[in-house]
Amino acid sequence: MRAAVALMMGMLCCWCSGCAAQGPEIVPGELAERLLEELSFSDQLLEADRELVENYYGALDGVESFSVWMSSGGTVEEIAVLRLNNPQDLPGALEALGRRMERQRQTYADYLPEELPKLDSCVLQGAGNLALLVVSGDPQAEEIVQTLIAG
Amino acid sequence: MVDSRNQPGLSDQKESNCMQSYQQSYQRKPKRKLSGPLRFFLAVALLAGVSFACAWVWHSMQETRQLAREAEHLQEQALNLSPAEASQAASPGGENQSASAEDAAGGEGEPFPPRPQFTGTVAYSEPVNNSYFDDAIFLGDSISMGIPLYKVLPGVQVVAVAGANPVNAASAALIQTEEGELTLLEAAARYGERSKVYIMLGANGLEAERDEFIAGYREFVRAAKEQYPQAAIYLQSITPVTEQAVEKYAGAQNERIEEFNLAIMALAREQGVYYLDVAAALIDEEGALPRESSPLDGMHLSAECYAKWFEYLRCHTVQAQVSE
Repeated sequence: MRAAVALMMGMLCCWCSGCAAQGPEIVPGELAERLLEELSFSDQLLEADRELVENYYGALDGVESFSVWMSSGGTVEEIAVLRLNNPQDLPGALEALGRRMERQRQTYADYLPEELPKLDSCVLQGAGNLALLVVSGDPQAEEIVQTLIAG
Repeated sequence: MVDSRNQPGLSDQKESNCMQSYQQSYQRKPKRKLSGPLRFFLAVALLAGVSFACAWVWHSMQETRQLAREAEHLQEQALNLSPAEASQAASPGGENQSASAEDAAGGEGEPFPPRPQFTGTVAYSEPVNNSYFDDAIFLGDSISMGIPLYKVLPGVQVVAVAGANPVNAASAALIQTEEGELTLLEAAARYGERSKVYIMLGANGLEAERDEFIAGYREFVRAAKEQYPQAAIYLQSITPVTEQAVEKYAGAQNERIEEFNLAIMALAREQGVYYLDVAAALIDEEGALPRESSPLDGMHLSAECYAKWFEYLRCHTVQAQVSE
C-alpha cells in the first residue's frame, strides 16, 4: 500500500521530459550545487555520505554517482541527484525517492506539520538516467530545476 | 660491647690497649652513622614519606570538595524535584544499581570511582581519541541526526529520527526501514553489540508533563540496559535553546530544559547509568544557546556546536576514569 502511494506520489510529482540525452552530461555534484545556489532554502543543507544515503533511501545499487544534501532535522528540505548506470533503473529510483518522501510525511506529520507543504510541492523528476528530488518550499523550484536540467 | 676500662687488675699496657681500642671504637661510630648508602637511604625514605603525606592531604582535600559538590547537587535537586524524587535521587540506589554500574565497568567487580550514585554528572577526564567511540552507538532525535551529517565523528553509529521523544522512544516504531518499521532500539540492534550507548532525548518532549516524560525515559533506559547489559550507558542532557526556539517548539525554554535535565540526572542515578551535562559545553554566560549557534530555529545546532559537544564527550568518559 505504502509503495503504491509512494509510486503515485512519484508519478504526480514526476516530470519525464524528452531530455534523456541531457542525462549523461549532468554531473550530480555540480547540479546539486547549482540547485543550492539558485533555489531558496531556509535551512543550511549538508551533504550526506553513501552510508547515510543508503540508510534513508535504501541500497544504491545501480547508482553510478550521486549527490544528496539533507537538513539536520529542523526542516524536510532536501536535494537528491542520482545518476544511474542504466536508464531502465529510473522507475525504481523514482519509487525509492517517493518512498523517502512518504516516510518524511509520516515523521513530520506530528513533529513539524508546518513542513508538510514543502513535501506536497516537492519536485521529483526523472530524465534518462537521472533521478532528481528537490524539497525546498521555493515556489520557483520546478521551473528552476527544468532550466538547470535543460542546461 | 664490653667497656674494659672498668675491669679491675689490668696492667697499664692493657689499659693503654683498652684506651686505644676505645678510641678506635669511638672514632668508628660516627663513620657508621653517616655512611654514604645509609644517608642516601634515609634521604630517599624521608622524601618518599613527605611525598606520600602530601599526596594523602591533597587526595583528602579533593574528596572533601567532591562531597561538597555532591551536596550542592542534591540541594539543587531537592529544590527542583518533588520530595519523593529528591529522596530517591539521593539514595545510594540499592543492589541492582550497583550491579549495573559494575557491569558497565566490565564486570571486574570494582565500582567506578565517580559512580553515578555519588556524582551528578560524569567528571572531567583526560581526553580520549576517536577510537573510543568505535564501539559506541548514539540514539536520539533530530539533534543526533546531525552527527553523521556534520561528519563530527566519521564512522560512528547513529540511530536517530526526527520527532523521537522520551514518551514514545521505547515503544513507537519510529524508524522506517526496508525491513519495516522499527523502534529506536530495534533499529540499533542491527549494529550488534556496543560497549557505549549515548542517549539524547527530550528536546521534543518539553511540552509533556515531567512525570510522563520521566516515566517514558525510564522505560527506554531499562530497555537499553536490557539490550546492552555490558555497556556504559550515558544519558546526555537536553541541549539548550535560544530565546526564539519557543516560537516553533512548545516548551522549549531553558528554565524548563534545566528542570527536565535535573530530572534526567536523577533518573541516571536511579538506573545506575551515567549523566553527561552536554548543555554546559553549549551555553553562554546567560545560560542560553547563543543565537548564532542555531540561526534556523533556536534548537537545531550549528557545526560549531557539534564540535563543542563532542569535545565535551571526549573529556567526560567513564573508562578514562577507571584507568586513573
